[in-house]
Amino acid sequence: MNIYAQHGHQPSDKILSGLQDGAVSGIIFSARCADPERMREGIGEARTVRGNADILVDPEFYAARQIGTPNCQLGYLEDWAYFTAQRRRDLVRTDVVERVLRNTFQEVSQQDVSAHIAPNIYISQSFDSMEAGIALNFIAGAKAAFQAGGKPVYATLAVDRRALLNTTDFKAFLNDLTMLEKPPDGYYVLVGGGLINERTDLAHSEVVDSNIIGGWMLLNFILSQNGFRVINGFADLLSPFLAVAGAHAEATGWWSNLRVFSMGRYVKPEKPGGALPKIRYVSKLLLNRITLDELIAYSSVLPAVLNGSPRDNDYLGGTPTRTVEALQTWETLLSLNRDTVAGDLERSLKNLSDRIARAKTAYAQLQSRGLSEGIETTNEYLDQLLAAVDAFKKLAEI
Amino acid sequence: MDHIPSDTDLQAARPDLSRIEFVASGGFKAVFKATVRGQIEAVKVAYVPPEAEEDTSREEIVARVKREIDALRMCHTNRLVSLGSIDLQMISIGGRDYLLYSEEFLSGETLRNRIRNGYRPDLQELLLLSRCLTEALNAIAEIQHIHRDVKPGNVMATGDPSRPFVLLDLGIAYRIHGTDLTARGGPPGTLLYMAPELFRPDYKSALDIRSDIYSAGVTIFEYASGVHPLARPDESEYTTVYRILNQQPTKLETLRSDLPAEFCGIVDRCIKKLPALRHPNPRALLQELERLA
Repeated sequence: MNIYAQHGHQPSDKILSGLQDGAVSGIIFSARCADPERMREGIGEARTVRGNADILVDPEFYAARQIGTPNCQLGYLEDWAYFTAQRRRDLVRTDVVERVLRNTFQEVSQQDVSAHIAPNIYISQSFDSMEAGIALNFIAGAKAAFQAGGKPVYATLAVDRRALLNTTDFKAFLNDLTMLEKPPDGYYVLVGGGLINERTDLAHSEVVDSNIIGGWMLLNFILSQNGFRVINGFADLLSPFLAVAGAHAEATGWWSNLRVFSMGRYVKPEKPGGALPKIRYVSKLLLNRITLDELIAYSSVLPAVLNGSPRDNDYLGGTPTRTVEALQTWETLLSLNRDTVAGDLERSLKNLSDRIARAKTAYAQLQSRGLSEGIETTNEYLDQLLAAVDAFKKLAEI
Repeated sequence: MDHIPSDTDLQAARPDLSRIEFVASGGFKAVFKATVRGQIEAVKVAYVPPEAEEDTSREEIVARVKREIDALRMCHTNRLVSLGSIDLQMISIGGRDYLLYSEEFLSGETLRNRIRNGYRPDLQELLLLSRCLTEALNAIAEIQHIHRDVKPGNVMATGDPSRPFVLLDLGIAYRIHGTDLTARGGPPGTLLYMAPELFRPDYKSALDIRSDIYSAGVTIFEYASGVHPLARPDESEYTTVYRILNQQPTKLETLRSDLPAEFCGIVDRCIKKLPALRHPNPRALLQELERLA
């Protein structure tokens, strides 16, 4: 039950504050956002603030398929020697996979990480695909390639959200994943949007499909039941759902592209720039992120919209800084996890369902006071969350 | 088994055996109790048909019996029945060919008998059974095999504290990545105890030790509660298969509320439909059982 910061391009002040306050217990650095030298500096800085922080580096090898494509934005990834284009037909060869794993280890092991994240490719469509087979080979070889580092090894499992919808293929993949001869110590799971037949802006959208959320929970449940630690990248508001299912940690960041995983982040947007997003507040009661104006209006008629934490004063006294916004998110997610995860699974799931039901009631109360903007969308979202709990129960045979 | 030889015919073919007594038959083998060089042993006899009887080939039967013996020889645990003093040999009885070998003779009664008699074990006995079965499966898994026929009828309660429960009959044991020895390609095992994945047409690609963990779970469940977690008495096989594939099993706790929830949870986990939801291997199951003990 840990919250990690998903590191982006911005300087580390938010994360350093989060580490200092205990809002986050770890950081997932992005190889795209720093070259090896800057990465070393960033990690050193974090270690100064909190020496025992869980520090990991996502090598983001899954983005290598974008090398050379028009409009790609790979940041510093091409400054890392392991980040080279590989043809898919070469990646079906075990020796090529092993070479990529070894090369990544050689470079990432120079960083002062607490555990290694091994590279993998992105499963863009289906668990019954050549990509899924290659991904399984990366996972199967991760421990051997990284074990010389003497640190826990997390295999990356990066998958398009739509692949979770075909439960037959998904379950068959899980059966294989849990029977590897030399498995990693854990998994770094990314579930998100892709590039295939999808506009990049849509790929950034939040995960709101009950079956996808239920499937993501199942993935966490099965892996944790089989003794693996699971770290979920870009989990954001789904953190309590994944924590209930057995996740070790969930990560999120401060911009929308650090809250939802998308392969679209490696493609330049069609319309770059634009206004900065509004500062938002995560309400435990509403299970949602609301604007400052909404917070003021809602809390005046329903004070329980406020979390009752000292951080609330930063919002009630005026517009908070981006750092405060990030800290408020991490603190709230941690608190949500602690409130929801109980000793046993059935009780935790009930806590989750009760929490969603309370959010629905709260929105109904707000609506009855004339604060109904966006209520239909919100209700639909909460219904999906409620259905996700049921979908998970069905998939996990509970 | 077809063409079970009589005690007298067997005695005539093997004068070195004495006090021959038919015990049981099933599948392609018959079992006799006999005294061999002063020791009571279980003499196993498998009919080997001539090539003309094509239903099951000679090669298949010979290979299956050899594989059972090889598997038993490789497993080093007293949780499994051990080999006796007669090595595998082909004999002729009344003009028919048979394979013959012996195993130790275990006195006691099968769990099947006890269930039929309404026996109700306590937690300590259930933990002991669970541990013995899991240790047997662990030994089988270590040699890369799968038993494929774990069921109450194949578990002997011996009354011997050093080995209270012994798993019998590796007759349809399967070597993972090994050659297919089921000519007709149908799923092996006893329907009521078969894991859901064994009903898939491509079941061999999904086979692993977790199928045995499922069968062991059903066996423990039935021994504990007296009823099968899914099947209902007198229903058709089709209905049972439907239940195995699609219905959620009864939770053990609902039938044995006197047992700790943790123990019931372990058994319930063994019989999950998706293999990935079960314990990944017998060692993991043993660890959970040890925590409970």
